Amino acid sequence: MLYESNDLKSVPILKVTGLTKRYGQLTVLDQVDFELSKGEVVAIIGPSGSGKSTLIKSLNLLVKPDAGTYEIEGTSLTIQKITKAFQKSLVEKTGMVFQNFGLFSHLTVLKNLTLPLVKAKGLSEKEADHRAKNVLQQVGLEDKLASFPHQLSGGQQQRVGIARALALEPEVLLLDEPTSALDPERVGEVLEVIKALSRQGFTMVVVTHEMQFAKKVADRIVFMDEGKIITQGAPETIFSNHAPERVKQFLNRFNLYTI
Amino acid sequence: MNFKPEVLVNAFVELTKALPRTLLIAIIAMAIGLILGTIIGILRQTKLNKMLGVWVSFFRGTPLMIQLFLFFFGLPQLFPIIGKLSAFQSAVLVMGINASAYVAESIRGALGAVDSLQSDAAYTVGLTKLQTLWYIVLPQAMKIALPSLGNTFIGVIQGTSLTFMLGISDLLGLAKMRAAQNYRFFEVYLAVGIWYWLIVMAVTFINKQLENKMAAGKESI
Ligand SMILES: Nc1ncnc2c1ncn2[C@@H]1O[C@H](COP(=O)(O)OP(=O)(O)OP(=O)(O)O)[C@@H](O)[C@H]1O
Ligand SMILES: [Mg+2]
Repeated sequence: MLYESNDLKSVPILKVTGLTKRYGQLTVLDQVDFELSKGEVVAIIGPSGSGKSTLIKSLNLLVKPDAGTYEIEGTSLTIQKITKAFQKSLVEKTGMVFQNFGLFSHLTVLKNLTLPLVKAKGLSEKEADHRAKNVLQQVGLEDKLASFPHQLSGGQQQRVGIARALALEPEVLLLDEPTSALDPERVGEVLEVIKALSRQGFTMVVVTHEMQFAKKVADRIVFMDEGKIITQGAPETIFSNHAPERVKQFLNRFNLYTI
Repeated sequence: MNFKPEVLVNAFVELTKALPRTLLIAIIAMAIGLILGTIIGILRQTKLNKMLGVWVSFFRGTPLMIQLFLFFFGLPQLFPIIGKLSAFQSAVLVMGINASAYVAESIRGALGAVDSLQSDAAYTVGLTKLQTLWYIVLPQAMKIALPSLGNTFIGVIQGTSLTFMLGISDLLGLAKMRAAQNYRFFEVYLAVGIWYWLIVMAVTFINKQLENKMAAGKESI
């Protein structure tokens, strides 16, 4: 493996080993090991159907793998032994951003943020309101509090999606192709928000097809194919001639070297 | 015999006496149907699905009149305690249960139509399954189900006209009595028909307003 652990960022937040997920005959995740350190930005790339979404959704158990071990805060449990409490702390540790936003379409922007804060985190309405407004300001949407999701552009909706996740103060943000459903001219505004988070040292896992972005922002690139992590490492190594042939084939399609 | 408008008008006015009873039966029955039907619709996503499917199928597949007779005249022979219920109570209960079968089907369909991505999102923000159902999925399902719930209510209103068979003097019960006295069948039954029509139009109107109100500012899913 090309990946060398970076000493400055070596406090592990979450570690999974031997993740395996099957849908019928199809093995979508095949014995995947994945570790995440504090402050790290990891980009997962790879062809369609390679299991990127399945992996990232397994990290908070939105998808429940058939086999594998989870480790957080020094506690390690196999998937069969995972308790409600353990699952809850996985969910609390992680925030998730979806390709198609996943906003609650019957609720206003503000309510999208405050409902989880009140119902899941137990904040008072007032505290929730205050925190939600703060976060929405961070993503530049303080003037959209009363709007409903469908009244916003895709880029704005995704920023609400990010804000909703951030408001819960997760340690890790999981983003599954956050810009893939956006009009090209809206991609930038969302990438800016993510870049800003990375500058603040936020720990993130991003599944993305935006190779320029991955190259610039990620500390580590994970390349997946057919349910396996084929290789991983620093962008300089992955986006280089020394990368495995399969990776180069894949990256060639993005004309990365001509940009 | 020729048509006498004043008989029609008199009958129409007199029927207002029975209007509250008809409306009361319909509204209470619909309330029972909504609560019970929503619960059934939700539980059909669980292991109870098969069992509840039989329930729904029975109440949708047999005539309401038979259900009323079965409950009011039949069941008390097996369970005398049921005979303690008044005709009104029995009517409301049976009609409520009947409506619940239709409501359950609407709710079940509507629950399936709510984008599952929102349930995924709810999970990731830490909502429990019950909270997700209550705060996220059900409100949107209700909105989707609203038109068909309106139709169910109209069915309930028209179904109330069968309750005269249990001796209740609802709109139709009173109309029958009056017609038996004055033999003006055409005018009296026309009057009662108009009443049902007016009620249904009012309900349709209210339902439309509700649909519009829910649509305003909220995404069509
Ligand atoms: N719920 C499911 N049921 C059956 N098969 C599934 C399910 N979810 C995913 N798959 C299959 O698992 C494989 C991996 O899917 P996954 O979504 O993880 O891929 P991906 O790498 O995210 O692809 P993309 O880049 O297109 O998003 C695909 O072949 C997909 O069809
Ligand atoms: Mg995917």
